[in-house]
Amino acid sequence: MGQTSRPLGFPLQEIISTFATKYKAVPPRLRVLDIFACCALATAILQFIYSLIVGSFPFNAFLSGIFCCAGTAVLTICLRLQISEGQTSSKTPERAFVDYVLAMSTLFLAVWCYIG
Amino acid sequence: MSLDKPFHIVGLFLLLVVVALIHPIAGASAGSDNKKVLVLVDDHTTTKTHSTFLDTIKRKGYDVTVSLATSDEVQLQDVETWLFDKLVVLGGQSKYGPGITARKQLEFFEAGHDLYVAVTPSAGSSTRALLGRLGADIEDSGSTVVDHFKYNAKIDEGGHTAVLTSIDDTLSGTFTPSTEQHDIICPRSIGFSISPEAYMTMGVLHGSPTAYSAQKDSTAAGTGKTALGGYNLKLAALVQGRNNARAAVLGSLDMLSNSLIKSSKGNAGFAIDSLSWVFQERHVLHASAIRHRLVDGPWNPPLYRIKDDVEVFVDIEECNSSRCQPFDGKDVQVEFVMLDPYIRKTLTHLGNGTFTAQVKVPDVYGVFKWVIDYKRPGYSWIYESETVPVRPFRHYEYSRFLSQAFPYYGSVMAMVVGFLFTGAFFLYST
Repeated sequence: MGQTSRPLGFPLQEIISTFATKYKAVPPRLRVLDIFACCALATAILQFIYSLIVGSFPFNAFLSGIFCCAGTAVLTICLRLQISEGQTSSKTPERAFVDYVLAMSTLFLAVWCYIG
Repeated sequence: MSLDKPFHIVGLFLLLVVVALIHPIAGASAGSDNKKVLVLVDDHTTTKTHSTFLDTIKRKGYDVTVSLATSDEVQLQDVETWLFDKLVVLGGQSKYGPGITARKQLEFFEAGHDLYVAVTPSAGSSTRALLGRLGADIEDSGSTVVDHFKYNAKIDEGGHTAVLTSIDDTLSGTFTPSTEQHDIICPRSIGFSISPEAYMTMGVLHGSPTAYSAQKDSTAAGTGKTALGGYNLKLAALVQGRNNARAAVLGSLDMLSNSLIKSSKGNAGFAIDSLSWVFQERHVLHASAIRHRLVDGPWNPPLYRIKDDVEVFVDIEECNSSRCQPFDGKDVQVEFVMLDPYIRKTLTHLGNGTFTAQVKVPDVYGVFKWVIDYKRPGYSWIYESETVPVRPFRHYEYSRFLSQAFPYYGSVMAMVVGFLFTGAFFLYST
């Protein structure tokens, strides 16, 4: 839509406003999943910065912390994909949630054993 | 009767065998209590001029045998047994008999027996060699110590050789206070020097700053080499051997003579004190083996771990001729050594002769030794060591949850909590 030349190659202002209006239509369930996934990613990045400053001395603890956060982010996003409308698979939302819980439990088990 | 006779003969024979076996045992029990002293003199006038000194030895309870140094009959050693416990040499001038050569006397000292040698300026070469091995390098034959300022005018015969001296400060405490306060006269003495490498030899009497060693038949100091004088010129020395045998080297035989012992309190005190020190009657230290344990653990465990708290104990007693009492040392140290000492700590005295220290094993593993190496002038030497291996941590002994990893633990906890809340919201929201 923008014909006049702009400093950026893409219309940033319009993307944000379109995204904001469209996002209001997302149900609360999916929003919670979004928030959780973003927090998990943020936690992973914070841990990485911490290890850059202090060093990755108990390397097992470092790896398990990063992978736990990254893993929860990934699994939460998978759940969101499976639950949101427009999915063609035959999986019911309940089945997707159960898969999510089992996967997270396995992840936490592995992380807890490896962390100390 | 023809049957009884062989029986009688066999009985008698057995009786003789038994008596022959018992006799040496019975004979040996009634004797050597470490008290046999051999005194070697150059001629019998010494026995008369030094009779007070010899009586002092006898009065202490020793069994004194006086003999000429050139005698063929007296021996120090009979194949393997030492026939005497202590040796006193007065003179050192003559050539020694075959049983008492200077080499034999040195073996005698190295076997742990005490040696007391007082020489004259005309000491023979074998005595010189013996004293050299004891750490005292004697001046050339005929040299005397001369001091034109500090001499005793009454005794001196004109050459200013009756030199006055007093006990060295490093050995204060080894002699009685009255000996340390009075001057000691050393007439007609030969000086010697003690090499710095001879750590066993301690100079007791040294020349005053105006004393020097004069050549034979003159009062000029030695030429062609540095003359010995002042503090480096020693007139008497005490030797504490590594096997804790003791010896004394006196450069003047006349300082022990009757006239000097009678007239000079310092000489009398020095004669008695040096004799009792050499004969192991004073300042003899005995140490027990080192005991060690983890604090309040079993005694002497076979193995320690790094960073253990360990306490070490040792008992030291100080013995006189009559009794032993706890040693009151303030500077006994224990070292924890593996090639080099990793820890050196002063032991505290707990009262009844027991010394203790508490130590943290260093962060190095290997085979260590507890070493107590106590060498002080005038006291016998203590060397005790106990070997103790030290192992590193086992894999389960490292600390588990480190404070550096708390952010990681925290993040995992946060994930778990977040998952539970999300799950709850998912299940129970409308």
